[in-house]
Amino acid sequence: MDITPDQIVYWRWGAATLNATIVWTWVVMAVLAVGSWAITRGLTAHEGMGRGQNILEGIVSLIERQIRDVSDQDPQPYLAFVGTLFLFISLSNVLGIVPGYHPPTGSLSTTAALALCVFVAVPVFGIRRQGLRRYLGQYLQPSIVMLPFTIIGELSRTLALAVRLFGNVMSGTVIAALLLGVAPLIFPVIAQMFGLLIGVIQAYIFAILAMVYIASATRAHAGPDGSDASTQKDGHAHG
Amino acid sequence: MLTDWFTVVVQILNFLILVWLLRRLLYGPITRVMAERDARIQAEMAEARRLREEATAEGERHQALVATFESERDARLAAARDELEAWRHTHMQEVRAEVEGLRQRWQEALQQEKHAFLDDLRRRAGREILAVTRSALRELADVDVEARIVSRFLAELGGIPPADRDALAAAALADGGKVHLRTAFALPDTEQARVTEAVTAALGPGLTVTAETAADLVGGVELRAGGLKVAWSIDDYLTSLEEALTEAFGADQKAGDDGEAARPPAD
Repeated sequence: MDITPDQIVYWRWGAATLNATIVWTWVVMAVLAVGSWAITRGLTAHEGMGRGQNILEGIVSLIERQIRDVSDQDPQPYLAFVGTLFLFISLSNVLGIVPGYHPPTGSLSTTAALALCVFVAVPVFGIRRQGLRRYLGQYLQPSIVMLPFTIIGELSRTLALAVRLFGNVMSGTVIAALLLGVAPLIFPVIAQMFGLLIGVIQAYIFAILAMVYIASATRAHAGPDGSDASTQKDGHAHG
Repeated sequence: MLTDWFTVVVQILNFLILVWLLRRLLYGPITRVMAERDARIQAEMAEARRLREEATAEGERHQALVATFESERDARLAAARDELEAWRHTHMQEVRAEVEGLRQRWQEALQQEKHAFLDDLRRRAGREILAVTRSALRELADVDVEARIVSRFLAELGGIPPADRDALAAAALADGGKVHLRTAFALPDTEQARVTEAVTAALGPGLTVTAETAADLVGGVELRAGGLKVAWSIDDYLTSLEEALTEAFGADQKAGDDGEAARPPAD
């Protein structure tokens, strides 16, 4: 039994391999892209909008609301990144009910890639919002002694992101395969249902944690007077 | 080794491509449409607020107009009521005056009718009394009433004072010696001769007596000379009768007037 779909290789050319992780990722991407294109073709801002538009607007509104709740900021700059994380991981996990499907999130390569994206996105969003100097200054707060611990924290939480998602999805797949061998009638169905639930929950956790990390980077530390630096900046810019 | 770094790099690229694709195909259009809808709803809300404010203002204006209209209506009704009351008062005065005029005319007409009736009654009563008297006297005493009337007239003629007699004679002479004898009945020749003889004896000779029958005389004989006359008739009796009847009519009319005055005047 393969622990990870990386081990299912369809084609190899030197170090480059076309494995199941990449192929099923493309399938998920195609489903998301084509589905979005098909639904957003006939969007309307007036009465009589379709069921697909209604569902998509509900999903996007939900993501925006979650981003706003976590970050207390305008969700628009983070919507594409965080939303894509959630949708990609969700669909990758939910499609697990399709026989023969190998979820890309069951590959540590995929979860590591997503965690690296988050690892890079956190300073990108932080610097874009606060500026390089102020962002780097956060690493020295409250004391320069904390710098190594802060860096370790950044790395470890990225590793935790990758391993958490990989472990959950991989374990779900493995448990389903084991149950299929032990009790092939009822229990695999129940395990699959739990797998769907866990897959969506894991997508939610991954996206929310990513947003929490981004929010912590974009939200400045409280100043001596207790005011928020980013808020002051915003207020100044708007004022 | 669970991690294939080539796969990691490809997955990073795949994820970035997916972010780009979904930004173009999903988030962009969806958020744009939601923003358009929000803007449209905001615009409609603003329009609804504007219309509500307009409706409120229009309602207040309408209420003010209604209040003005009601006050004007009340004022006009009060003025019309006063005018009507004044008109009614004026016309009641006119109507009362007109009714009073009609009443007076009616009273006058009633008086005229009463006089005409009494006059007619007087004549009829005279004729009837004379006829009854004639029949009674003829049957009871075999006496001709006309002869008795002439006799009574001649006695009256003979009894006038000398000064009056002289004045009568002078008036007859001034009239060419003519003396007019008027009787209510046709005077027989014998009676006419008797009268002529008595006139000559009383006023002197040379006078011409002309006799004529006058319907207006009731049972009487009248002698005219110039502007003077000597007469006898039952007219005095009839006058007494007429006075009695007039007095009775007057009492009835007074009672009627008192009853009418006792009624409250109609407003």
